[in-house]
Amino acid sequence: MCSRLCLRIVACLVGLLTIAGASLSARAREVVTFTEADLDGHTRPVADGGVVDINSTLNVRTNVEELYRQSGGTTDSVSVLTVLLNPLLKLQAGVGAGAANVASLQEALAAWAAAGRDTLGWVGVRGALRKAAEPVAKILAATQGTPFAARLDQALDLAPRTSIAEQYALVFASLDAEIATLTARRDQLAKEAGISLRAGAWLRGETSDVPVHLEGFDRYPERDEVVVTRWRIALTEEERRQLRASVRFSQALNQGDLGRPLADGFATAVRHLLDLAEPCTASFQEALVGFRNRVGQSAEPVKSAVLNALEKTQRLRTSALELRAKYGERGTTPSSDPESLLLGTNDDLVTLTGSVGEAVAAIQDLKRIARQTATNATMSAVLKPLLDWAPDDCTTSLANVQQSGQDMARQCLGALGLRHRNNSLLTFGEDVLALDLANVPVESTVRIPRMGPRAPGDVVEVRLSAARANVSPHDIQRTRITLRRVLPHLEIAVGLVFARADSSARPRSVFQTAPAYSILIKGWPMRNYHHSNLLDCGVGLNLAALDFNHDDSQELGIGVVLSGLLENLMQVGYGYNVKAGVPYAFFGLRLPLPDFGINRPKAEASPVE
Amino acid sequence: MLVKTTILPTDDPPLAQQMFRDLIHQEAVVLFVGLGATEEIEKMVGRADKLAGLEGEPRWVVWARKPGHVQPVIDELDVPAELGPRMQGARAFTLNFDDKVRDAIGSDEPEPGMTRILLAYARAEED
Repeated sequence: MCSRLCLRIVACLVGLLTIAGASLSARAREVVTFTEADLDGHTRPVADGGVVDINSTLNVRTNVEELYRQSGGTTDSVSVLTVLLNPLLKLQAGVGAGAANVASLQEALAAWAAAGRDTLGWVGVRGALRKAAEPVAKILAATQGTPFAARLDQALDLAPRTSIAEQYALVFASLDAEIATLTARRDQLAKEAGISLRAGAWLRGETSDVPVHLEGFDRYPERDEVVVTRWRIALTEEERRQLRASVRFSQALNQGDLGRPLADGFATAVRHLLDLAEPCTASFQEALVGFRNRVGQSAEPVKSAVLNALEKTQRLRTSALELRAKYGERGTTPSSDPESLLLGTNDDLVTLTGSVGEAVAAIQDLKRIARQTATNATMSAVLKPLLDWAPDDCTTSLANVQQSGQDMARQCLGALGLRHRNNSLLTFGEDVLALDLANVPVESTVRIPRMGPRAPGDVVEVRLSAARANVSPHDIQRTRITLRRVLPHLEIAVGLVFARADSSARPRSVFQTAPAYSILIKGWPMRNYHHSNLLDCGVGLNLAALDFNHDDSQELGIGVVLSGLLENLMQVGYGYNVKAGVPYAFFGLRLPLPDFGINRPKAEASPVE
Repeated sequence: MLVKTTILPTDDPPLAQQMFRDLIHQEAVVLFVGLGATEEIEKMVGRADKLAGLEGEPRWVVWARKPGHVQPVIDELDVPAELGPRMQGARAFTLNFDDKVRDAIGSDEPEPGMTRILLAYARAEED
């Protein structure tokens, strides 16, 4: 029994070590690596899939060895030169102040000779020799048997007898010269092969991808600096709206009508959408029926396109009528739990927006085909009404309906703590430079505060693509880094509390739902760099509008609160009803209370002064 | 012409040993010790002499054309464990200022060029 358990534990450990090893080797293969520098002055490395603070700066470092290896192929002369060059570059980086040490040695030897080679001077000579010899030994040991050593052998053979310091200086100079020669040859070969690199950075939000400036790699301008406020206690408009929704919701809950406020709000918004879509759909259908009758004798592509547009418009209308029946004034809107309600409505919205998109595309196709078919006078006369038809205003309205529907669908997911993941492949804009490998910056910066408005959960994506003559460009790296509010900050959480008066201080136990908000300290004492906010805890103050004595007069409750789990979904605390003079324990929920028809705002932000 | 090299006598082993000991223990220099009398060794000693630097600089070369004569002195030296195998039949080795062996050019190595000899000096000087 024990041995089996032990085996399992060992297997787990081996698995973890394997994963860790794989992760390390993956990091070693990255062409560019990222280091976060946050507002509190801390720096830390970040890998693909990592998390950084929403106000940090990302320092980007290019691994030249990997850049040439991954963009130059594996068998050509560029790669051969890269293989020769990279160990030398590492040596050069490792020897540090080699040349300065040689100068010190020269001075020490001269001073020693001038002092008649006394014992005191000898100590200085020995120290200087040690410092100068150490990097030389490293270089020579690492290059024995290489073409570099053969060339250095020859240089030392041909040179006259020289001092120790000059010999060491020759080693450093030869290394620099060798690197310069190999680099120039490699860069020339890479240029002749047409190898280039493009690197782009984007801020990927829920609804859009915004290209942002990656220093040295593009011509995009930096935006004005916008720092997401860390210490805020005032409620934003959105939070005030949430608080009002919480008041309505708590009243509904106290009256036992769970879900009605949500359903009513959603139904009203859907009806509004349908009211917008209805006139367009009707006019399309009417026009298309007329065209169908008229183009009976015309070319087959036009006839098919008309029938197709008619079918798609009919489907949109049917879909709209079904939704109107479901969400109408006396409709069959479900009044069940919020999750079922929101997921159901999300499906309905996806269906509606899909139908709108198909109808608009079919009509645009029809217009295009009609233009292509009207190549002679007869056909032009037959198709004239169709060619003159200008449904553009209406299609714009429908596009707006589609956009609003998609926004509402996103809100349904957002209210459940889910987020639309935008994983489409990004394309480089014209302002992203195609750089010869020799011109690729070794160090670059992505200043997140200069990306403009952004929200926690947005992703900074960096894409590197290498191209060479006659070969399609290929991605050599895609790194996605999620923005979160990681550093210590204040956060306001609006929701409901379920308060229970302390029975020892009150004759009858009271359990009551009340609207409330908490001001929480997050990111302290521990910072959460995890992708999940499951255990993103906070501690702070809770203010609740209570009514323990049911006289419809609000009583202020003040308490301490501990918050955690999925963006403050769960809160617990202990408070004091100021007016009633009664202590109470409570737990709080940040219930999904979407605001249909109003776009969710980006995180509160303020320009830096 | 060798200018910073002491060639140990080949016909008087005790004298050779004495001279070798004196060079090791009396002189504050990094010592390059060449062992053998082949043409290759002669070439190596010539290179080591050239790399011994200018007059007065703390490098010196000792050439023991008959290594067997000075083997008792070599056996007395402080040799790090990792160099032990390479010292068997070595063509040359270097001693640092504290008279410890810091590098050895083994018999299985290619003919030592200037960089290999300079490496032997640098290893003795970095310590």
